[in-house]
Amino acid sequence: MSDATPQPGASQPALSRDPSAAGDDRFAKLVADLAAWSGQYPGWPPCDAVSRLWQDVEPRLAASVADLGRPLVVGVLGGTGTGKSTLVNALAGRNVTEASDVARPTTVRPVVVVSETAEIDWFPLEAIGATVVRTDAAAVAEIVLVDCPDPDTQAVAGGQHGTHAASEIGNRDRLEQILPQCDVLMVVATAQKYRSFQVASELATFAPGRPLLFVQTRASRDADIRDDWKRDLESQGYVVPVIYRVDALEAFLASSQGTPLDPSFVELQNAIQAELTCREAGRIRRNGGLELAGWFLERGGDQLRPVQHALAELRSGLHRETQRLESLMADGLTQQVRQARMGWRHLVANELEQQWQSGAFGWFLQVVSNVAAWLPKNRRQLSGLVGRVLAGQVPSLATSGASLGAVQNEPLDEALGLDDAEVEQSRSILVGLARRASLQPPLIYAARLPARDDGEGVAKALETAQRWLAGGIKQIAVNCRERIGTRWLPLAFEVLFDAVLAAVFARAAWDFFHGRLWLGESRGGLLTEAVIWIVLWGLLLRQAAIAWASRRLNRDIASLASTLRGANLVAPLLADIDRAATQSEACGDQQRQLKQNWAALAADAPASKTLGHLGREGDSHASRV
Amino acid sequence: MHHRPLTYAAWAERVALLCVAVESLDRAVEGLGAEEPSDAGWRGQLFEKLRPQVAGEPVMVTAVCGGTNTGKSLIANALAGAPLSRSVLEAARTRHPVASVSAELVARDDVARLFPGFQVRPWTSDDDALTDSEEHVLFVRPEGTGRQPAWLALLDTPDIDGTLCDNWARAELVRNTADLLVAVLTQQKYNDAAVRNFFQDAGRAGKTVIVVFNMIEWPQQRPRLGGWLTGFVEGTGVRPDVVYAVPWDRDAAERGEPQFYDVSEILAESPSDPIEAVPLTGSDLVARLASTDYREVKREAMLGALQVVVDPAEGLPAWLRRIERSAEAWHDACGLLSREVTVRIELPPAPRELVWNEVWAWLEPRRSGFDLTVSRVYRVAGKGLSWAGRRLGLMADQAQRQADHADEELSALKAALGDFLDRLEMAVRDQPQLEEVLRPVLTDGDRQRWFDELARRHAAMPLVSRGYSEFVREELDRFERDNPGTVRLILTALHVGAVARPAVTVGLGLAGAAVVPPAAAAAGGLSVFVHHLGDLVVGAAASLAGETALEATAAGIRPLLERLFAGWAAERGDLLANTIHEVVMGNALAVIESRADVGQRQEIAEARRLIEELSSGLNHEGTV
Repeated sequence: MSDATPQPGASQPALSRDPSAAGDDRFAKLVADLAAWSGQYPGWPPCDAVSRLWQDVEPRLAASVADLGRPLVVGVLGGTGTGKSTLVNALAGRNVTEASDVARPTTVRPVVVVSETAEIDWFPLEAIGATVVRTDAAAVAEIVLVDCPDPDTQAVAGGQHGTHAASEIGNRDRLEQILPQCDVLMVVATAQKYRSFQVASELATFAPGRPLLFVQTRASRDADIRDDWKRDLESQGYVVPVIYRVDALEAFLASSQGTPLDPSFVELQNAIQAELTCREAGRIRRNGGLELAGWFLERGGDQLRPVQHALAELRSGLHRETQRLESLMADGLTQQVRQARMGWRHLVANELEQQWQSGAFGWFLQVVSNVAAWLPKNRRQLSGLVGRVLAGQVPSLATSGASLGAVQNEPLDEALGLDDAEVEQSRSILVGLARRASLQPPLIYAARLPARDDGEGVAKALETAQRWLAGGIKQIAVNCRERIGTRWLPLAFEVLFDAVLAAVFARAAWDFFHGRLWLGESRGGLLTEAVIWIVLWGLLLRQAAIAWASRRLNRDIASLASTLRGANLVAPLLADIDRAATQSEACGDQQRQLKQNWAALAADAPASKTLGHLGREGDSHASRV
Repeated sequence: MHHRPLTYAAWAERVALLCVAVESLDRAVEGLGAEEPSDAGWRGQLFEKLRPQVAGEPVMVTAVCGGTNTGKSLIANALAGAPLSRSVLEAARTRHPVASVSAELVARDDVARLFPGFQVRPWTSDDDALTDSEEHVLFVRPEGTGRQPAWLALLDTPDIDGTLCDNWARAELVRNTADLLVAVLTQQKYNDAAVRNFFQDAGRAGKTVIVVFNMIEWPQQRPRLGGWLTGFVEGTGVRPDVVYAVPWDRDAAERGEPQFYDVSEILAESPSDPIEAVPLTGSDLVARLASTDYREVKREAMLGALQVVVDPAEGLPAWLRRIERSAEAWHDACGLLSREVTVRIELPPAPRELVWNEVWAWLEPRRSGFDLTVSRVYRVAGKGLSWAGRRLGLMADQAQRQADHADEELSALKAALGDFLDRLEMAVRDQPQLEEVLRPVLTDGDRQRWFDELARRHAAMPLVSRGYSEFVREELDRFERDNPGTVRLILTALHVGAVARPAVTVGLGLAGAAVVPPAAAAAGGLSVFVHHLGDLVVGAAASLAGETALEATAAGIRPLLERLFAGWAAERGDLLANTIHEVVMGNALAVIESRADVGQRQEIAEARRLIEELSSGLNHEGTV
């Protein structure tokens, strides 16, 4: 597609020199290309679906391009009662958010935990109604930790059990305002809740493009369910390198009493401190963005895939119908060309006049043509495009636009020898095929082409045909001119005409000088007779000349008809459908190209030993972002 | 209308009739757009509770329900006094319900009747319920110790909130069947939406509920229970009869002997001080169950189920209204199609000599000397003229002319078919619900085949069909009857060049939308032909051409001639209409019409009548 798409092999050395910068440029380019692709063919339903998807993805991709330096926002996601707040308190080293068993849900307003010195004016605290708590705990020194409301105490509209939506804002609504701000999700579960449908579907919604950290809490009470949880997660398409198992309550008590922490909790703390540092934030965010871009391309591809076959069918249908119409048009036009005998005679006679202007025969031809122009049969208009072109009403190629007015009011079959019904049949068949590829009006026209004033369709077809025909006929005229343009031919005719003329004049001179003047005879009338016979002889010669010039006309006409296929005369009649097919095919081509570019970038991104993510082919649920 | 309460037998009969009416409607509304979630509450109550339980000996179905890993199996096993389903560490492992029923009930052999939607199989081990299988299976374990009365069925059920959706479906089936639910709640789950939703439906159906709070830090969390219960009751609308607390005790759980503390005092408006609680065992609870007035519980559950069915806002009546509304929309769609999907066919006028020949064949037996002379003169002159015309190349010979005519006709028909499809497409844009029905036509249809078929049928049609000859004879006979003495003018009129170009239209004529095709209606009130061909209407009318010649000579004959030409054109219209009806449309129009008719079905009225009668209540003498 573009030169900025290096092969994976070629890009690696560059990356190793300055991985982040080179990768960032390519990533930014990919995001820009994705933006262009998402709106490539507005109005086409599959593309519109991609566009809608892009609306959700775009802000996050833009953020992962722009905000590479900011600390990571880690959201704690889990069912109510799984100990999210307890875990946040334990990580913060003090009571920053209420954790209790009095009433479910406990956390309604999100709590944002940051280090004492962190600047978080960029974080939309007010929009999500969050309170900020600062702490000097090491685990949150370089991250923004958000204690989120739960996803499972609010009923789903028309959801799990087909019940009714709660009218007031619930905890899941609040959660869904916060999660889009998060870069990393810390997924917290207990033995009771790790297989909860509602948490799983919320995770599936927000997992694309977000690294995941899995934690089983309540370790001291519940059995170790990590193996089963991992199986369950993997069956949903997640990549799960490790699940931490901690008892947050004990860790919290230990840290507030200053007793040693449980090793499993220390492990979690260390993982956070090692992986989610400010130094790594750019890389993690970019990897998240890259995952998201991959997810978007995959889902976008899902939109296009169902119509691929239909598009191929449409393409071959276009080819087939174009050929059918071309052969019908070739027949019709050829027939019209052959039938326009008068026009051809006229054309050849014109050529003769133009060529043979000198001499008596030339002069005779001029006179005949001037007289003939007054004859009613020659003044009758020839019908059809062929007739008009032959009659010189379509003067030249350059100015053909000007003569379109006359053409437009003519039915196609009279103008081009192509039946309107045949065009409608072809179009109707193609409209049906286009419909299978979701291409419908207004992307294409109806089977019956609309009025001919839009510079497209029939008008365009007529104009094209007119150009082609005028060119072809001009060529025939040139051929004809060449045939009659030899030096000996006019000479021969001139001689034949002049001989009679000379004989008549010689005889008239003899009669006058010898007979009347010398012998005094009074015979008359020769001149009248002579003129009649000269005219007849001249006309005969003219016929012969025309016949001579028209000798190879039929062959020329046949060769003109044979060029019709390459002239694309039918194309304007199917142009709307062809354009729609081309544009929708381009969407698919572009998606494949972008996927290659993406794969080249993704191949360079190292896998984390701690953080999980949604697999490439994963997610059975309709994810949002 | 007020009805007297029904006896139980009459009530049961009406429930059965209502089921029949609803099932019949279910088949009729397919695709109508009045679909409802398959787990709509009233449906479960009607088909899973009322229908199977309205006849036969009453059984109090008691089911233990709750979220994943809340200890349902532990509680159910304790109640049954035997391992129904193995209790495991991993969540969502109980995949199928297990019922513990007395040997006596099993012997009665109608256990399967109680659990519609399930394949009922005998229980073999406590691993049965953990089998991973697609179909809904319910295992029945006969209880031999005699601690369970014959009217009591105890069930362990799969979870209601896990990632395996089959599990919920099975739990919901059991819930709908049940009269009494044992809700197993925990500190983590008592307010989960999935749990609330599940029990909301039970609350609406008036089922008796016993709450068991499991995994309680006993007694530290005892003061919390009142708050949790209030949350649960507010969220679900159930009114629990009894509340138990089961302490978190790993050893007891491993032994399968959880301890139950009756904490029902928290149900009171102003809870009294906690009574000194005495731990109870599973068999104590079953003994308590055995002493309940199970007929009253059953009666409440049956009436509660009916209440869900007849609920005006969310029950069957709402569905009936939705059906009528959707049918109305389809009716409108029929109107739109009838109005808009009509094409005008621009046919070439019938070749004059062919019409003339038919008329001549009719006239010959009637001709007088004068007529004969006149027409001979015309014939000879005409032949001479056409010979000269052909010689001069001004006039094609007859075969060529007829071939050209056939080509023109086919073109007109093809264009009309293309227009018809365009118009159908436009109608779909106006009424998107038509898309689903017309998709097989507009999108999946093989249009190439349709055009080929049209051409084939046109080629196969004789230029002058027997039908047309008969039609001409009938028309002329009628004209002769009505206008004796003017017959010979017909000849003159033909010879002076009367050629009518009739207007032919083909449109959709759907039920309830009596449509006269516009062409027929527009022709100066001269509505000549309106044919109904299946779902299509063909109209032909004429009032054009040949005017001046006719006005002068045979004004009275003009309508007749127009009819003769219109009849010719109508035959071509029929050809197109038949092709559309038989080849293009398939059964799409029949489907649309049947959907538009659903609102008028008598099952709707029948269901409404039954609802009204059933709502009048159950006679208290009636026994369940």
